[in-house]
Amino acid sequence: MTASFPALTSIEGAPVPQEVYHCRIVPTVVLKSREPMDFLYTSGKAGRYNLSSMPCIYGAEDQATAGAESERYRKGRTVSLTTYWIKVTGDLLDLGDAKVLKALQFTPEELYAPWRGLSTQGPTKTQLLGQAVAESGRFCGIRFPADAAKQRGFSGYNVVIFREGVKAPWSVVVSNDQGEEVSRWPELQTFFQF
Amino acid sequence: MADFLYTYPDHRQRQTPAQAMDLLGEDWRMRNLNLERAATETDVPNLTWVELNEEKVDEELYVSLSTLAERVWQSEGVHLLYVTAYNARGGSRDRLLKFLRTAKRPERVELDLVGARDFAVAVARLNAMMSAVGSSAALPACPTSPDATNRHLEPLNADLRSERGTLDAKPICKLFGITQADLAAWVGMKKSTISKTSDGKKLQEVLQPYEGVARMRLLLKDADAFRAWLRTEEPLLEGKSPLHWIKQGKVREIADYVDDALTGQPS
Repeated sequence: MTASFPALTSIEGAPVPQEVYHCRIVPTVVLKSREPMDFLYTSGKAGRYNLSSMPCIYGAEDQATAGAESERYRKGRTVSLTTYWIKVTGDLLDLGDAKVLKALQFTPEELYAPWRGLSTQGPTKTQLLGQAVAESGRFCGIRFPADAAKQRGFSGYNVVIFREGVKAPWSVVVSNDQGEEVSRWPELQTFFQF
Repeated sequence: MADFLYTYPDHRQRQTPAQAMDLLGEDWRMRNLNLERAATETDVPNLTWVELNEEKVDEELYVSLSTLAERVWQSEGVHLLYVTAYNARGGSRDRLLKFLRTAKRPERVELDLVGARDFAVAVARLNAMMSAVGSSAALPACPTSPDATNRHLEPLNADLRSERGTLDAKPICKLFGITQADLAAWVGMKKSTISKTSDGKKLQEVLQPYEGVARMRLLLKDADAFRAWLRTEEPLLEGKSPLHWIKQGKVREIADYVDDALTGQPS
């Protein structure tokens, strides 16, 4: 798959800065309806950078961006919210870097194109890139500009981390708002199955 | 969320006693099965009520009860087997006492052999067991947030299932505000297939994404709000309504969209 994006073999990965904690803002009512807490992960469901067959987790780079993502769906409803924290240790393909975009021959418009397979069929360019990145072994995920932040007039970033790409010493640790670890890649235990 | 199973020895389906419905409310996932079938189920509920009434507890019934109990003993988590057999006498009583005497996990059995059944005792005991291990699954919800108004939806979409626990096209059509003919056309089936056995096995796979879409109710006030949402244009759905895409055969994509909405998934 990297053949579709030959530049992936030479682009340097961008380490996630130590101080960065990615996050997701989830309506609390949903937490009450689902156990175990594996729902943050996409499993069997496509996303902007993954096909349905690729287990991964999405998160926002900061709370403002996570809030913008959450706001897209809230539609004026009053809900209480809970924040989940995702600590990523590893190298990312940084689509916030103009040189990387150029090397991959991506236009900014392609980063924001519809991907849900509604009016179009087949994988999108971003999904194919995700597949190539997951298989490359050079990156654990992708940092990409958030459409939700753009819609609200600021510059924010999300990440997608591919389970296949997270190999020790890289890791992903998900914690709840109490600071309790709820999940980890690579797994130390088999309690949470994705 | 906790699970409850009401089970009984005869092959005609019995109604789940009103006592259980009233005490457990809608926070519980409820099922109702014949004992022989229940003994083969791999999914072990938190609370199982085996109602034997005045049935003679013969060897065959004893084996079914023991098989069911074995699953309860082996399951992780909090489980209670509540066995009622009012006025059990003679050999029946002896067999049930033997069942209790030889139980591998006697702390998981509540045996009620005399007079009117008192299901409240079993529920109280299960709640105490859950509290002891720190699980609040069966305890009443604390209305501490606006979300508490949505508690009626737990277990999720129970109202879209028939008594035997399978998804049922009739309540789904009603909730979505569509006809059975609409649904049949969208899922590629004959209307007669749907109307004849609306909770049939054949339908389960095609109804599954509709159940996923109905989860949107977690964020909405009521069924009317859900129907309005279905028919409202959405920028994230290329400016079309969810129902527009469902009609185009994209119900799975809409179910995925709902899942994203529920989990704040960056898109």
